[in-house]
Amino acid sequence: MPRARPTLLLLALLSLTWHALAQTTQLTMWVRTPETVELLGQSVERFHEANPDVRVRIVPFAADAYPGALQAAISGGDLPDMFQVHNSVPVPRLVSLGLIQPLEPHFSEGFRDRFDPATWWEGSTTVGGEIYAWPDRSFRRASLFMYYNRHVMREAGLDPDDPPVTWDAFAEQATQVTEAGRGRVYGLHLGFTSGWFNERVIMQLATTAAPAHGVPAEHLPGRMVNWTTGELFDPAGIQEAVDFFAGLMETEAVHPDFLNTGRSQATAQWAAGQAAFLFDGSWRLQELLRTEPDLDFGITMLPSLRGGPVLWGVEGGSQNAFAVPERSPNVEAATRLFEWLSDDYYPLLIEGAVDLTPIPALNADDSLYTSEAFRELVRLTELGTVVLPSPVMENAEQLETIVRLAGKTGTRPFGESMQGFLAEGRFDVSDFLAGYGTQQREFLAEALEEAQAEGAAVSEGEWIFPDWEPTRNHY
Amino acid sequence: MTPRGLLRQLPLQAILAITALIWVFPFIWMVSSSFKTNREFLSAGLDLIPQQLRTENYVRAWEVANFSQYFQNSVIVTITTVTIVVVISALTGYALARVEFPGKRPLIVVYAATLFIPKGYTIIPVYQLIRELGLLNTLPGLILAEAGAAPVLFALLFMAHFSGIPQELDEAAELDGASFGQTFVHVMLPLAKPMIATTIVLQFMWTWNSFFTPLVLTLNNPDLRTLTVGMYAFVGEYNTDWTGLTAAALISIVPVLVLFLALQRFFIAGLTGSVKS
Amino acid sequence: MTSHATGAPATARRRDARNRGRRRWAYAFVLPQLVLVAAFTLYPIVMTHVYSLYEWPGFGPLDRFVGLRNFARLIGDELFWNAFQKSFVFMAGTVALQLPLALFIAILLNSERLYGRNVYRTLFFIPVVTTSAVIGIVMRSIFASHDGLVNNGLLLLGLIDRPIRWLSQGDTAMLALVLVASWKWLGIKMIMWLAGLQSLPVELYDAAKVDGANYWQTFRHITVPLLVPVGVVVLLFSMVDALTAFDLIFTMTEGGPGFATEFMELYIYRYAFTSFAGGLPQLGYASAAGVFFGITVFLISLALSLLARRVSRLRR
Repeated sequence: MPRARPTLLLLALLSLTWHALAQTTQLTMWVRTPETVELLGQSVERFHEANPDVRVRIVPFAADAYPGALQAAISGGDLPDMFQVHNSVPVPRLVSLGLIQPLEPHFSEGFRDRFDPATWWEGSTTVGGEIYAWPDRSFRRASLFMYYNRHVMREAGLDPDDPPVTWDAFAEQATQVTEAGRGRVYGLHLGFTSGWFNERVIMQLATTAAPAHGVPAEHLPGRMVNWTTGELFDPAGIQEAVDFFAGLMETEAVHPDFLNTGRSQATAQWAAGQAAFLFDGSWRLQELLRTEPDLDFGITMLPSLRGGPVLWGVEGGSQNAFAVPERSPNVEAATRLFEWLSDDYYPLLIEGAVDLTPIPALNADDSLYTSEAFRELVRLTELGTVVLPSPVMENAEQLETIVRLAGKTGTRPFGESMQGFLAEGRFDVSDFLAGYGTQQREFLAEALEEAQAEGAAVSEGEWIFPDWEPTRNHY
Repeated sequence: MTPRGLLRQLPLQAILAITALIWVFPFIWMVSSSFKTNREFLSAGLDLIPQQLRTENYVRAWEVANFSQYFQNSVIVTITTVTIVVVISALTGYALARVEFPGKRPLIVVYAATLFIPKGYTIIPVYQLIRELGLLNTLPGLILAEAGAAPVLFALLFMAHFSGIPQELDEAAELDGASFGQTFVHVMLPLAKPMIATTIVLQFMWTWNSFFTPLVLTLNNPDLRTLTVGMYAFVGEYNTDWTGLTAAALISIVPVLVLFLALQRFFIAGLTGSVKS
Repeated sequence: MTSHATGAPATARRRDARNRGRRRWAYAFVLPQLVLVAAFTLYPIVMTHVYSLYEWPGFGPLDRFVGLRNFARLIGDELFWNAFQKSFVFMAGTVALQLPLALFIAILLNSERLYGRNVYRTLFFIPVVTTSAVIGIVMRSIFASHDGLVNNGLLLLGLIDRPIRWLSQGDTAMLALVLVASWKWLGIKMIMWLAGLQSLPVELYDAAKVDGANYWQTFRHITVPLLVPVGVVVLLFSMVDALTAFDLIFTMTEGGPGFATEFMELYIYRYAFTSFAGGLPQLGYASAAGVFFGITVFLISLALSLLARRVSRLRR
């Protein structure tokens, strides 16, 4: 009987798991940031040695599959013991739905004091002052950078140690590479296929084009808030950023497949010598160091119109923190793991050239830095990553507005639209920007209204910070 | 056949051979890629001959990506699902073909209608149902969901097939004292081989390649993932492993292809029968 | 249906008893599938209709009833109509390409005497059994502008003098998808046509030969009319296949560039499962789109089946 065997096998499997369960606490941990999976795994191995009564299983997810998985797990009451939060369901929402439990009571005395105080941020890692999520890295995250292939630059007759800083210089050098490459090599490559990534590229470039402007931020995707005016979407600089790409496309300075190549493939093609410059996230660095040990490359800021810093906004807390479901009986073991990881895994973040940690003492420990490129990345992050003002800091009840806002998305997503415009060669995007801006304005008004209807005492004025300066940290 | 026959077919053979070559060229390219290193793949995408025959992509696909485990899961899930679907479809088809019972018309209409209504766009009701049954993160849960989502088309095809078999056959069996069930098992099923083959091939193909259902229903137990889901480990934000992927894809094609080859004769005959009626 | 009506009341009574027994058997036979279909096919369809009346992200309480507001929003969204239109363009393209080509190949492969018949059939069937998602990923490379197989082939043949940017332009991306989808699914259509061809009565062909009809005349006057019913089945299948295609498109173009290849299924997916622009998924709205589209497809299929029935009745 072909059917008998699977059943038997399954029974055997079940009884085995049952047996194991009786002796140890089994924890499941969902991770959606691939750059940390390996490091977490290393640290968990050591955790097992020190804690034989706990077994942790890490389940890695592809970023694209994660929101759907999270949605299904929430609706089915099947959340794992620890899961990485995602901005489709912000922490306050998880709390108000009664889905996660506070971690604060389980942490040992003085645990929270070792962290940078801004790590504990209302609406991100804490709600009502209590810790609900453990941060997997520093809130001061870097975003996009330019990687340059020294070998290709040299071949094209460029100075490999003098990558372009301004748009003009960039266009010139990129065109030169394309011309020297004779249809085999191009100036720039990037994987311009995912909405969120396209959005970051265009918006971050735009921050350099206008003196007063909005700043894109990880915690406010799709927006570009100008905090001086409280405008949710300030389009200043975006048309110029699009024109910058239009120019590159015209001179064939950008790889012909950039509109239909995924980021990982674009990186591989750039590393294989098909382009001199690559725009990609800071998270690419650790991978390049690991998988391309012989590649002669450098990292620098994205080019800017006039040479100023390319900005990226963050708030305190963490966008990738781990939470524990309300119904999980293993919260004690989970927090034990979090404390372990805070000692054992955080240093790996720096050694592995992944990111900064939420613990200032570790970030300052020079002996942890293993690569020059990562040192440079940290330096650039200090220049480009700014902590933005937060209405929630002004008035905790603005949390309600933020949660409402997360449910409102325009009918025409920004990043996908940009890809469409570049593909069609429709480089005048002013109509789109006007429509998009109007919609965003309405969203803020609606969100405030809804929050007020829920009884929150919030006002639009709390979104305005008259003396805000884009390059200054606010907190 | 004689060599002369072959000679006469030469023009036809030439046309067919060229078409078929173009047809499978992407696969030839995949096979060649599966023996390359990723670097080689990127820098010389068009060279069909790899610098050297490397089997490490296959080894990597099999071992590192936990493919042996996934392969086993896929086999268990697919074989069980296909068996269930064949049995329940044949049962339904026979009852519909042979017996007039109240509710038969509406049943056929509803079944036929589901063929053209795109499936529910959300897996959430299925997910909740499986959870209520306590089968989340288990292979039986996955099998149930796969078998339940199988198209009722098969039942209707079986119905058409059984209608085409003269009724005297089962009447004779019943005169000999066989029950309805015995007649079905001993007389009718053996006559339905072509339909069974058709169902096996099509359902095997669908279940084997199913992606979203197995992903969601095994969220918290990745050891139960199937081959198709596992294949995505090669395509990530990090390090798309092109050559590993092609090797994995080729491994996963083999079982379905073998099945098709083995059942091809019946398969076409089965469709022929159903098309006739 | 065969029925042996006899007058004797005793036989009728016996027949009644037998029928009752048979009915019980029939219900037992139908039950297993009915339970599974009800649970895993009908129930989700019903729930999709329910969700379409709510504003709901897919989790948490289902408590924000909005009536038909999702549908109103749908009708006002130009991207919905874009997806609607693109789905049908894609369908028309794949159907127009696949059906005749599959028939042609089926006719070639139908001959009993053809050497290597099974080998050819298998070769044409290989794409069918390959996971769509993998095909999509591989085709991305094959249709690349830089060093893509297709471009290099066309350049080699001298058909073009510079690479076509297949997937970076809306129209060519659509064309590439139509080509790849037709290529992938042709095998199954070929088998269906083959089945149809083999069900044709041999006597008619012999008669035609006696009457001195040539190949083309036989094809035109015997094969084609007799194949119409099969053709309708193949057509319906191709349509439903094309309108519900997802994996291939998702991995090959992700609906891009822009929204040029964002078919209905991708539009629905975008709202149902992803958090595009960082927002919550909108399963209620996505369900409304699914319901609207589903009804359209159903009506079209229904109309086609009725039309086909009318045509075949007219012929008689």
